[in-house]
Amino acid sequence: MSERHVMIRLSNISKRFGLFRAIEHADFDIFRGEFFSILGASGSGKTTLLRIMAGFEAASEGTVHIDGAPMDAVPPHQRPVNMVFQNYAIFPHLNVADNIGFGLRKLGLGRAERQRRIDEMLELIALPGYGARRSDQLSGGQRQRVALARALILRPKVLLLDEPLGALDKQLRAQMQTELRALQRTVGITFVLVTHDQEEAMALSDRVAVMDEGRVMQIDTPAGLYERPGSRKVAGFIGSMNFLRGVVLGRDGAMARVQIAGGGAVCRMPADRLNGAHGDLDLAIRPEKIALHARAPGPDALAGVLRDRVFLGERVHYTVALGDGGETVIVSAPNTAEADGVPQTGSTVWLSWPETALMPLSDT
Amino acid sequence: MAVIQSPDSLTVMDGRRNTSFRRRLAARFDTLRGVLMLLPTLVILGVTVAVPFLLMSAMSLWEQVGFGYGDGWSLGNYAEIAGEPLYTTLLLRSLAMAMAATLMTVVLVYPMAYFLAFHVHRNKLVWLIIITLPFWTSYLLRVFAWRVVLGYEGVINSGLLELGLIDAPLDFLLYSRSAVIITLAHAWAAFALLPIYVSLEKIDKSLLEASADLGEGPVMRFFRVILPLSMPGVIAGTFLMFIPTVGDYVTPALVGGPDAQMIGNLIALQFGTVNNWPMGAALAITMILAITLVGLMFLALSRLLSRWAR
Repeated sequence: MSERHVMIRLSNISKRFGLFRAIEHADFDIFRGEFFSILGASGSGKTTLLRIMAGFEAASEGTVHIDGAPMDAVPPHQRPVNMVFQNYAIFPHLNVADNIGFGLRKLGLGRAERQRRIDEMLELIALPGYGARRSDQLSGGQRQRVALARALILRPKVLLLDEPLGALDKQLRAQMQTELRALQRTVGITFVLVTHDQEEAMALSDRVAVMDEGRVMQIDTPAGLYERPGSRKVAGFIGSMNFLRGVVLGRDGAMARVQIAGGGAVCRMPADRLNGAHGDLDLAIRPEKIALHARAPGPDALAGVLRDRVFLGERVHYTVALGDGGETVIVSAPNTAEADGVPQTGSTVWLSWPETALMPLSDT
Repeated sequence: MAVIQSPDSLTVMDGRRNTSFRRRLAARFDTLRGVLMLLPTLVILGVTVAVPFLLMSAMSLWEQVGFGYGDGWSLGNYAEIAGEPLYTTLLLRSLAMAMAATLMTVVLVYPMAYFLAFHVHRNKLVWLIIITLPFWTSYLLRVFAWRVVLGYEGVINSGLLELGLIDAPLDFLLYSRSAVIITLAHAWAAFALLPIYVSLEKIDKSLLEASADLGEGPVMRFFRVILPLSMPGVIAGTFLMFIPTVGDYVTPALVGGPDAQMIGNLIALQFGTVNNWPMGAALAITMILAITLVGLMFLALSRLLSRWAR
């Protein structure tokens, strides 16, 4: 990774609005050609971070470099980035072609060349022949595409997208996600996307930065975030998750023995994941990694009482209370797993999982 | 999907027919409600504008004979207006002075409205009140205030004398066309300011960020985004100011000298000392037509300009 070309370097960026700390010490790189997402709830500082990259906000501390050049004194209209705004910011007094061609004035192109580029863009966003349309005659999805074309026509080094799909209905959003991803591959431009939708971030991105209360919690690939969340917050934000308490009992070569609170059973997990942690421990496990058994499969299985069973079609969700009705665990199993009979609510069931499924969490 | 939906389709159809009927009822009710809400305004406008206008139009076709009116209808008054240079001169002068005052006001007031819309974030109402404060006093008082400012021993003259910049008071300040234009520009400023402010205030700030993002600096942002989007306000402000100032007669009477009289003064004379009401009516109608003509030309011009600017 280190030899890759850094397109955006954020060096220790902090932003305060009065006493409110919007961003604290954001410090990471975005590489050329990458589809990078910043994921966070509203108020996490993700949009502010994007606006600092675009130049609409000045960082209180730290520096942004774009393609190696410091951006401290560069106003937004001179930065080699373009943005797709949350509400698309389509100019209401201009038609589609004039909206898309808005930024071309600076390039001093001839009328024919300008028209050629606009037509090329209309082709790219699958709206050929829409040039003369008034902007208020466009649907939400079309406005979004015009906003994309307007930014991409300038061939920026980085395209910044501020919740570009947030205003669309669910079906259209799924379709635009596919198109956005394909578009990014076609044009090869670095995309930085801000979203609060974890599925969107996972589906689109090469890497995701998870933000919470102004801090960047973790930066990883979608699979990495899912399989190895570093903290309870990230784990809870991405997908669904069971949280457990446990105690490290000892090590056994490459494996560590961990006793789960509540059920009392001892499980094994790779020792290198613990990072030398010992004693009490926060653990997490994905619902779909747990197998549910009506009879004890072995001495290491965790016993519990089945409290609830929800049939969801392809999957069945079980709620299992561990030990004396202490912590509850959700198990998500494919519905084929019930071939040997449907367990009754109130009956005792056993849980097991692969050794690699259990994840330790840091405190935060 | 279609198979699953079919049992419900009957009820769906039913519901749709029902809503469309309800919608039609609501639409009809909406029109009725709209008419009812407009009714007081329509009555007032009818009684105070339409009826007097019709009476004026009729009267302009009469003829003054001694202290009474002649029989029948004639276009004699209009023929006299077209033939007598005094009338045309006064009419053209009024239009020119009103245009000058309007232009001056719009140009001066636009930055104020801009500041208010884009740079004041708190207590906008207080700012608006402060800006419109002069308009809380009577129109007559405001015009008199300008006499005090522009007069022979007024604020400007005595100030300049005190500073030793001039030896004798400037006598072109008061009782001149410039005095009328300055006074009109100030007296009607709020009428131009408010519509311009509203149109600027409505502009989505993200459009400015978008134009910056697309490479335009502050100056081009203004000409390519802010000005075109505030044009409706500018046009409204221009009309609101231009129309009443053409016919204004208080200001030229109080601060204008003999060569700064306007068409309004002449009309007032016809209804007063001259006592030729049909002539006054004809002059008033001519003025209205002239204003309409200039207004239409202005609209056509601004539309042409905005198309060209694109």
